[in-house]
Amino acid sequence: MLLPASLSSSRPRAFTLVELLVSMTVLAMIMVVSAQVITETQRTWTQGSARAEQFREARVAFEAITQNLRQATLNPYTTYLYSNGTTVPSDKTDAPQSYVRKSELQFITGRSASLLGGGDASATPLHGVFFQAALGVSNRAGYDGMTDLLCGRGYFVSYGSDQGWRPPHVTNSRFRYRLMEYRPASEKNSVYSVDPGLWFADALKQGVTAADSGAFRAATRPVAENILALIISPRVAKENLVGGGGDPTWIAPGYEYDSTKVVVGGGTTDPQGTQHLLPPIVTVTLVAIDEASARRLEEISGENTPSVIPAGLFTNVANFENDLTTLEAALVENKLTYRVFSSAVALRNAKWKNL
Amino acid sequence: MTTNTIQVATPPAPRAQEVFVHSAIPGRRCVWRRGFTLVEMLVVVAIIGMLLFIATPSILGTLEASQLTNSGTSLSFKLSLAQQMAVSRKKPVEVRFYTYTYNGVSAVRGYQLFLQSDPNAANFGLKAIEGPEYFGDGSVVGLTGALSPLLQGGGTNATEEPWASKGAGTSYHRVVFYPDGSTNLNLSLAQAFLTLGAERSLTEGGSGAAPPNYFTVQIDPVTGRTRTYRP
Repeated sequence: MLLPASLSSSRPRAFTLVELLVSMTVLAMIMVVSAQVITETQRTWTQGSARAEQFREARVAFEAITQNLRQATLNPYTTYLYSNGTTVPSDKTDAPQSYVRKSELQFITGRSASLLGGGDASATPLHGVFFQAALGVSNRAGYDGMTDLLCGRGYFVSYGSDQGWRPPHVTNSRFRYRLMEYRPASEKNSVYSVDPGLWFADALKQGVTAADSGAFRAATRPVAENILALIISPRVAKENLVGGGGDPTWIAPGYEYDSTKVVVGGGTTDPQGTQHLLPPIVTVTLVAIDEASARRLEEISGENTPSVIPAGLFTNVANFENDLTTLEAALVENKLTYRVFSSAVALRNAKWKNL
Repeated sequence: MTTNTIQVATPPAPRAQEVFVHSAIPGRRCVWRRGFTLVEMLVVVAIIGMLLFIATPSILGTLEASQLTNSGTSLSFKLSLAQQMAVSRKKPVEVRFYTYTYNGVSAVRGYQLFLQSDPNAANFGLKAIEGPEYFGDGSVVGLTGALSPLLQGGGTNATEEPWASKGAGTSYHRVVFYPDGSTNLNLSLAQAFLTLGAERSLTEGGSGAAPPNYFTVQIDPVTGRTRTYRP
């Protein structure tokens, strides 16, 4: 060794207990602070990405609704009405009574629970819309090229599990609010064969089950998860109001519009009113929540429909703004992250000028 | 304090055991401070080694999981892009999932979007919409068997670049999105999915048993919408 004999016995001074304690405390403090920063960053990151992803799905669904709704049609025609109340004379001598607008198709909006009926009304909250449009859906081989076939189409929100269509290896079920699309194929369109208002009546029962296959397509399919509310409000354009004034929502003051019904108002003189006419404008409002919020709701209420949407909302169109504020307040109170999509859709085939 | 009591600070004498100094003893040039002993070094290295040994699996697991998440998310984005593109351009969009051998393991490792620009032309006038996409950096693959009914059956031989040059046996499975929003899939909704997972889950566990971590992407054959499932 190179150490001189005089130095070999001297030892380096060690840390005292106090020094050690101080350094450990400082270290601990630094670690606590940095752990907090990291957790916070991570939470912001996951929340941000979940929100972006979730609302992307809602946005796509919203665009699909508005795009398809725009193409709604009633294909109305004018025909003679005979004394027996139909368009077919009872005999050759039967003289026509009047010349009326007629259509076998239907455009209907209203509360999903009353349109679809049956079961738990809270599982199908707020509004639904059902209409006919040239959307070209067919399950028959060789019909692929017929892209303008007339089909029924409908949208409503329902709460339930994904049991019918979950991949077999996925073990946990998801109870969610979902936007459902009722899309019977053209060959299954029963609008001509049943009374108005019945062609979509079993939309809830036609959901995707284990019976769904390549040959049998269930008519009601989930199109987007975590859509809490769909609000449909038919109205007329400002220029369609007599004298340019009045209430643009007179055609559906309670959000209910049925093209087979006679509704007279708004200063018009047509005895048929809005019968067999499409509303010129339909305001579609969609409320979406993010996946984290939906998971929390599921934890709270499980398979029962969560009681998030206050009762009695969106029954009178005059209170629309108030109802929306109430709904948003309820969502905030339940600590749900949400987004509202809203758009006024002009129906291309609405021939309102003829009124 | 008075002026005659000013003390002149003297620099402290260097301590022999702490600094490297010239020795006053002739022939002994330098004095070294005491270093670590071999035993101390061994203990430190052993502790570091143990910490690494404990931490490595979880770090690797995290990396793998994040690669799986990225691959799955970007696949579901691309599939919904393909569906929207088919609707907006009014032309079918074809997504091909490629199987090729990498590191000696043949598996589904990438995909690419094509536009069927002309239904009457040979091969539908297929045009690549964008470049190839790979699952992770080779560690993420499409799982087989009951975990990916979409990838079942023999694929079609790939002749297009850059896939063809990945070696013999490179083949693809396809999903076509049509302008009405539907697809070419002749499956029930519960069966129309494919699953991504780590490459080692191909061999671990039985066929059809889900690995601890997976990313399932479901495509609705009727509406063309994608939905994802994680454990």
